[in-house]
Amino acid sequence: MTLHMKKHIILSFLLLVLSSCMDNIYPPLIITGAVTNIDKDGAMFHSKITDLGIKDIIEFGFVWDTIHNPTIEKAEKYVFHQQAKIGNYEAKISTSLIPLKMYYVRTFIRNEKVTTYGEETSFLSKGGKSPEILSISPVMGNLGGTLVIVGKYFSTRSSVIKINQISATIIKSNQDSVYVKVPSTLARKTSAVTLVSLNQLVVAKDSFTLISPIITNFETKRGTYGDEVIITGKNFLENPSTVRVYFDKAIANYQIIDDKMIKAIVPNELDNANCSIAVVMNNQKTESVDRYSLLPIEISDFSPKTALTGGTITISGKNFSPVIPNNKVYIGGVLAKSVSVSRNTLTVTLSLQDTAVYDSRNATLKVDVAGNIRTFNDKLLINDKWFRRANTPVEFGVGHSSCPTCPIIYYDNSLANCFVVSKIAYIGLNNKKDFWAYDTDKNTWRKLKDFPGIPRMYGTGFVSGNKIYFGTGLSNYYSNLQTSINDWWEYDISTNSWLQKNNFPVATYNSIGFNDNDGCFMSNGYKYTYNKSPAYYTFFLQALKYNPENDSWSNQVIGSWDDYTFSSMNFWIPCKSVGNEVYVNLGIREVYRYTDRIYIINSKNNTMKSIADYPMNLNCETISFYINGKVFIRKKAIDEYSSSSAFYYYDDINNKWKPAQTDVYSLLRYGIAFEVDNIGFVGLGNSNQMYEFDPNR
Amino acid sequence: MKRIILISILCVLGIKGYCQLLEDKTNVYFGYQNGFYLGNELFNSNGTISPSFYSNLKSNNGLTIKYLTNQTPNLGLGFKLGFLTSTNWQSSNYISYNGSSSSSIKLQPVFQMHTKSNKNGLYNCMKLYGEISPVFEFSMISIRNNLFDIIETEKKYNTFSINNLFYGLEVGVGCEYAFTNKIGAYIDMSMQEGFINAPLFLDSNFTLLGFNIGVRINLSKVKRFNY
Repeated sequence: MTLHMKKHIILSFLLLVLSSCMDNIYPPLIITGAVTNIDKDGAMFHSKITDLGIKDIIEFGFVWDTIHNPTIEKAEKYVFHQQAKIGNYEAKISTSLIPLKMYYVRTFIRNEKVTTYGEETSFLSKGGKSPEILSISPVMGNLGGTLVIVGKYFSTRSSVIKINQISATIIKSNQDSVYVKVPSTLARKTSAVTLVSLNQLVVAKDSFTLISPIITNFETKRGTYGDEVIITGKNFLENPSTVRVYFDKAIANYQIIDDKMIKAIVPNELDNANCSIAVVMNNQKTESVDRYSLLPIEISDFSPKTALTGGTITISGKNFSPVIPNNKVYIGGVLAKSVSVSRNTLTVTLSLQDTAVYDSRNATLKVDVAGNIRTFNDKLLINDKWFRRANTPVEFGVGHSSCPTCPIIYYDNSLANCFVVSKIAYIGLNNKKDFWAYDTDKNTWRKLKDFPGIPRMYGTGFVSGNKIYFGTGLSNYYSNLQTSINDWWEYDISTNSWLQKNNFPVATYNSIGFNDNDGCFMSNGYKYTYNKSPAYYTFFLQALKYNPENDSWSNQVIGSWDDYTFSSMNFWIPCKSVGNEVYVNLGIREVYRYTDRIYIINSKNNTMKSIADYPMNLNCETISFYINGKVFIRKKAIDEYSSSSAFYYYDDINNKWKPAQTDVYSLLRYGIAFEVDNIGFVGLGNSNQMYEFDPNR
Repeated sequence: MKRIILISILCVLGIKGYCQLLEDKTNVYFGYQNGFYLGNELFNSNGTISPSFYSNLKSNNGLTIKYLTNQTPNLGLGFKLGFLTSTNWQSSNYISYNGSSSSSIKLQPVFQMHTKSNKNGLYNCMKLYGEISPVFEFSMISIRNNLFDIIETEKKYNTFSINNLFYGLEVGVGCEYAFTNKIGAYIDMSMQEGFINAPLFLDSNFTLLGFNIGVRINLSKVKRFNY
């Protein structure tokens, strides 16, 4: 071996050893170049990839921002579309560049594990370009699908894509394309696609259209709940996850057979006997031209034929809806509560009268299933003792308040005057000009001629023949100028007119007006004498008797009685006048005993007869009616519904006051009571309700 | 520096010698090298402009060992082994490679043309020469990472160390002076053009202007046979 040969071997070996010491750097590396060519349209960015790393490059490009260290996630981004190779890259950047702003630029390159940013460089911008949309793709699509907006100068950071003003979720974006998910809330068939970036709005020239289902036919067209219907059409497989099938408003179970056929089940919830079938896909609803018909309901009987409110009625028939509430049964115009249904029976409960106002005790039964209506010829008798009558008209509801400026808070039917002539009650005049007639036979309300006098509270009157007399009271009741008045008026029922008469002899209020077989009386108090030994008081009940013939008044003592003390004689209350007799309360019998003395005054022979004490204290708001030869009295109408607030009737055989069943559901405080043909009526007060009481049921 | 070197060379050339030395056959040289990289602060790589790595290395020092055999009275062949350390990266506008350094080992076949040795006179003691040599350089570059922001959870890249093998060409001129038959000194100036491809900087080539000074040891003389 020559010396030269040895040299070559040594040299080669040395180079080989040195080469084996070469290191690899595993992350991809990219170097940021200085920004050049800065003008009003943008600037030229430069970079050089110097190492690709050991994994495939996903993307590389530039990021820029007005703050240091821009990142892919937060800054504007430009991505090169070509495959990454070692070498130089440059791009003219025009996106989101505001003149005279300093921008910081970094190159980036990333693989699945590593993102490498090059060193940051900066430049002073002279401006950029607005985004432009060149096209969208596809122009027809589905909810949740991907829509690609292609254009130029898109901001990857601030671009917002709206489809019909609904912001779409951006899946990915770069400088010339934005991939968005079509929002699931999009409902409009054809929508404009807009891009909003840095207060700039760009509208794509093409619109985006949601693919709609098409229905050509369905079979069968008549059936009942649970039946199968085959719907034919097309596009059913375009977006199957958004497909819904409706029979009217009821959603149906279905199975998509193929793109042109759906098998649907008639839903139990269907509540329309003659409906269209709709297929919804992509929020686009397509309805069938033909209509689907439910087999009509058939009814055969109901039982029992007599019931109380709260009771149950069973109806037999077929084709009821499997959904209980969809079987609507109206009893006397009131929707009953459906409680169970089977193939051939339907059971309902009559609503209580707290909310229900039946149009008649002999109630019609009407069954409505999905719009198929059938009515029984037989009537159901509602046999409650207490039966709710028609509410007052809404005009009664113009409430008063406790002060002129306070808001309306309740019905102001309190302390109304009530006069009964024949089967009609004449009601009103409680600080109003309103005067109404309630026909107990027809269960109707009718407005009468307004009272021409001054509105007042605690006015009083009575009935004489076909005429109503009314007067006295307190005017300006809701002010500090309350004044007792003594005007006197006559209302002629036959002509529905008012006529002013001679004044009552004294200005007074809260007087007692009643009429019995002996005439018409107005009383406003009593006088008394004192006997020293034995010590007792003698009270004389005074009254003024009215002569309608000559429009005159005459004084008359209609009764007298003795009492041990003066203090217990607080007031007297005529509870009821029947024939020549007036049931009166003369206040507390003994202090702290809390029972009230009741006398029967006979105005014809001026006698007074003491009967059993009323079980509790009464006061001037006492109401009463007289039916079946018995007087029913209730303290202050109905404050609340409870057994202790019941009416009491006088058992004259046993000389006892006994409680009567009182099923009244509303507050009738300061209400009225009257009787017509042995049926009692109670109502109004702080409500608009009226009840009848028939103890014979 | 350049001026000092030039004056030194002229002074040496002006020395009148009476050396009576024999012509060298094989010499070995040990020298110290200092120099600087030529070029701008920025490097332009086909339009991508970024701070240059080599041009901004301000401190460059090394050692050289050269083995040379004279094949003819004017031509010498040999090889040179050089060690160069470059540090102190400085740039007035950038910090890209602050704290970075480069150490390299160069192996160079050397082709030397030199003046013929005279029996007496100046050229009996002194030799002027010019050299050309391809360069095979193994470079160990350590770069403090101011340059890349690498987002990777598993690893931190505070400093990159890369070993790179690259090639170049060096030309140089110089002179040597023999104090005795065995011992002499030399001084020369060289310019190396290196061609490199490294992922951490844009520089694809560099120019190193080097200055060498050292001693010469003669291993053998040209044998003369007088018949």
